[in-house]
Amino acid sequence: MKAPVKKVGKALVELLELPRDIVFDLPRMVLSGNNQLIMENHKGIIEYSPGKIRVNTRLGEVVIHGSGLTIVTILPEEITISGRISAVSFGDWGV
Amino acid sequence: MVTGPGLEKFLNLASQRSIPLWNIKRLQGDVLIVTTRVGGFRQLHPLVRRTGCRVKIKRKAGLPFFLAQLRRRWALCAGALLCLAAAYMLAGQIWFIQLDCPGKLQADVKKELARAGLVIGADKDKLDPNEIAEKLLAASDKLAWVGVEFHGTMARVRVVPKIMPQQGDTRPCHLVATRDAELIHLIVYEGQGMVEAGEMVKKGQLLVSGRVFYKPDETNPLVRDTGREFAEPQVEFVRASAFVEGRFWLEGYGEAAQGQVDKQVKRTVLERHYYLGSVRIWKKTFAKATPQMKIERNERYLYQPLKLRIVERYGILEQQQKELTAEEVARQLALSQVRQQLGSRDKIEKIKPIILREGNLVRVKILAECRGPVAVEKPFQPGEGEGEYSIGQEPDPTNRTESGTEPLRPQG
Repeated sequence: MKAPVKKVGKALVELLELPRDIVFDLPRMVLSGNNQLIMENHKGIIEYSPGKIRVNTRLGEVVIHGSGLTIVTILPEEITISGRISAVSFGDWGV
Repeated sequence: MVTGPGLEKFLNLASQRSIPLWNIKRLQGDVLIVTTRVGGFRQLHPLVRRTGCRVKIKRKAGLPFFLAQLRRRWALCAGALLCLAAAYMLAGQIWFIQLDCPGKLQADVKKELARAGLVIGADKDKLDPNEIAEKLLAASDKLAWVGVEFHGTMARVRVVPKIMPQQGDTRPCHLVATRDAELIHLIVYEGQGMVEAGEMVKKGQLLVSGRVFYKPDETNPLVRDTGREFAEPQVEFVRASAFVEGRFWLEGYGEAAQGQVDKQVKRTVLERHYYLGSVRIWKKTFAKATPQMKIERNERYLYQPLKLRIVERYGILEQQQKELTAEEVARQLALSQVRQQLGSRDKIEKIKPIILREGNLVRVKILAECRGPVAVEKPFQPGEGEGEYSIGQEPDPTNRTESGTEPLRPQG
């Protein structure tokens, strides 16, 4: 039952040109160089170490690799990570 | 500092409850350094119990903690307040007086300033710069302008002294010719003209007389204009004044047997340094000094208030110039002889050289046609000396002597 609703929703979003991140509550990431990452619509931290941060989102987890990683701010909707970011990977994403 | 096994859970719960946490760093092991507010720290207690973590304050920073510290050190606060109060009070007083005034007047101006209340330690609020300036001007008749300005704790007083015009000589005098000349212009301002433009005059000849005669004649313009009527001829002694310009001729002679080498000095800018106070802010090099050069230094201010100045280094080099022939040397000598006879306002209009050669020797004679003022004042005593007139006698301008020194002679 969920799949047809999803398909209709997608079609509507494309037809009406609505912002997908707002409609589907997708995580939104802004990477400034390799020093700072701002992520909106996160669902919490799964793992945190100076070399790796795993952040949960609605679609799956986002893994940030790097060195000297620090969490500058953590708010219910937004998380800011700074440090030397070497890679951002997406694991077990539903889409 | 948060320690324990469930640090991620601790962070997630804190963010869900909107507890402000920032600058979160994970150290080795299960240690987390976080920053929070006083209120946030209180909210962390339930989370600590739920996650099994331990929270320890590592450092306290911020205004509430600083104020709490200050409460214990009240003497420091009192000292700081006292210092501020002292600085405020001292800044409201005059501590320096800069007097920009000629040396002769300085002592008087200082006295008057003290009388007006402008002394070291005086309160600025009680002093009005314009009022002080007015008091100074009123107190002394030697001052033309006074400016008083307060810059911080410094009072700057600028004084311009009165420079009175020199009292001219009012004794009666004639104008006589300084040399033999042809008069080009003669415009009489005061006195009686004895010659006319275009005439030749001799050295010492009277040009404008200081004795002015008025005839008892209605047609005399002086009588007509002034309305004065003279029963008999009147004489008045004045200081003769006129614009007298003449043309005259001078001679110069020079001889030379051999030429000479003329030397010239060449000045080259080597470096330019820009200073702000005593700190050099920029340097520009234009040329390199050579061992033959004599180095000189010149310093000038670009903007005095900021002490912005330029220091220039010059290299001075004596250069050999072209060789002069014997004729050129003799000509220069003759010309310099002519120039020695010229006054400061005289000009050479034409030069006619006459060149004679005798073997190696060259003789040059220069005839120079010059133009310039040819009159000089000659004071006289009205009641004495030759040329004194009695009432009823008047000089005849046509009756001029050869020498021209005293052309006015009593008739009869």
